[in-house]
Amino acid sequence: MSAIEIIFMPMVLALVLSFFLRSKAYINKYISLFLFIYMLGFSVSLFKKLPDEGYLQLGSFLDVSRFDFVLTLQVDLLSTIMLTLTAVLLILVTLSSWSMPKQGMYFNLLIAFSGSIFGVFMSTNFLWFFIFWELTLVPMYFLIGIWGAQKRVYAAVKFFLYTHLASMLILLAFFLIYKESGVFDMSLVKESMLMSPVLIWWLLFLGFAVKMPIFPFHTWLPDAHVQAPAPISVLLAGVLLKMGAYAMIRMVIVMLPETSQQYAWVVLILGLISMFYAGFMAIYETHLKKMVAYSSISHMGLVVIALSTMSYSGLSAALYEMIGHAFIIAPLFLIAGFLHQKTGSWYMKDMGGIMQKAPYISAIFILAGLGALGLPSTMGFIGELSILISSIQNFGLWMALVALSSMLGAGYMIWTFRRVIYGEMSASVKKSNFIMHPIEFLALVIFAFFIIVFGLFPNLLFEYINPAFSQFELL
Amino acid sequence: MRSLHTVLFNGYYIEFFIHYFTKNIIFNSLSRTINWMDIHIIDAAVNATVNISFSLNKLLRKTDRGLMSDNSGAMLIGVVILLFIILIEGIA
Repeated sequence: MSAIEIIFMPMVLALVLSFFLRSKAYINKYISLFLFIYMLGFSVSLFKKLPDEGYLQLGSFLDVSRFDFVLTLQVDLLSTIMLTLTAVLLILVTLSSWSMPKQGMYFNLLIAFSGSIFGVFMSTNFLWFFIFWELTLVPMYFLIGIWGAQKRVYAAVKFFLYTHLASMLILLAFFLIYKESGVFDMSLVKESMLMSPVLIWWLLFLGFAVKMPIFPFHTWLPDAHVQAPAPISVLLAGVLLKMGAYAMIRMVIVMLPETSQQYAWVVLILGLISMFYAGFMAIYETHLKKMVAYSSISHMGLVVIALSTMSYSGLSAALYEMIGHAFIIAPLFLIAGFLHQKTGSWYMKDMGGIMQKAPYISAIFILAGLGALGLPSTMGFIGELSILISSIQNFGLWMALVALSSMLGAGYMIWTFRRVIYGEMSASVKKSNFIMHPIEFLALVIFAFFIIVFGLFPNLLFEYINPAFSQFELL
Repeated sequence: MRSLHTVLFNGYYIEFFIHYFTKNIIFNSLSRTINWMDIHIIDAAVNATVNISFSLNKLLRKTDRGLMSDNSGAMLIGVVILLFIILIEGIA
């Protein structure tokens, strides 16, 4: 299957499945699992084909000569890593959704989402990038709006409007770039070609800051996470947020290095505020999923701090943390969703003593929680340590205060363990049975496996992450 | 001697200090204030945009009642403005 088919085939397939096979909707999960495994194979195969530097051309399509509207598909090591991460998460999300109600439409939307997200990571034409960027919103809107909790419509609309508004800034920046440079291909645009790089930088930065999200543009995320079904929260945290960080690296830091250097202090301050602000919010939260959502924002704050260094080591650390965060936060969301399903409550006070009823699930929750607070031998530790080192190298010793994020993490996570996992068994826990579908449990085990393996052997990832940035010219 | 005994007996008050710091400084002061700010300032500002949109919508609906006289009046004002612009440009 060619690159263009890998993008558009899932969208067509989703449409076809919506009209046909409606009576056999349960088949859709097998189709989506097969498709995502195929997409993973496709992504992994790209690693072998990639040149040492620059892009691997995957073809140009829809060439309309009057406009620069060519769908140029090309990948480099950075986008290939993102594609692989996305495919792995899509497989695990499918496994985690095995017993989801109204399966037909749910998996169709997931399939449509996979095509658009692959389009984001593969297209280098600004307009096509933007089209795929916006297309990811549509399945997400329905996934939150239909399968979400009580206030799902409010959360879905807020998510859609908020991110769509930010997209308008991005679109404006793209048109400005085209007006000033005459090209729509991000791999060809250089900062020296632009007359108003500062304005473009701000438009792009604000647009992507909403997606990541960075303080004070974060308010859509806790609502979306709380209302979304647990596997969709995994996609939100693992893929959608990373899409913002990927675009920030590709179009803000790499494309506009001089302006990025000039405003690195803004990025740094916002990153620090995000990290502490969301950390303190997580401490105060009694709503389990909201606590995990704020912990997620706090970790993205760390990623922003690493990006603000504008250095090779900082970018590598940011990418490692992005991958680590995706694997660590996923089991926390999935288990929070499972506990809500069983106890009927989101609040920690109703969840005490889970360990006695579900020891294996509790163990995975503790492992992921320890990863989130940065315990050695987990992915969280390597991510936070490499961000700490690169920020001290670039900004000085005062950046040691980044280490406080681990202390905040310890604060909210260990307290959560005490309230949810240990402690006296609550009435709602007593009367529930905590039996998880074996396939959904398998997804949790795979996440736990990644947290430990990449925590113990980080070079398995750094081997690919470090060269991903060496081709870029940073200041 | 007695005060030294009390200090040692209480483990240099380290536990007391940690408890005081986490409960009163981190939880009750910082976290609570930030939580209040998040709900009442940041999220409220986002929700305020919705209220502003609704208010504007109400206001604009008053000007668009679907009456022929309103529409022709608006058209007439538009024509006058256009003529004025053309006149100014002509003079310039």
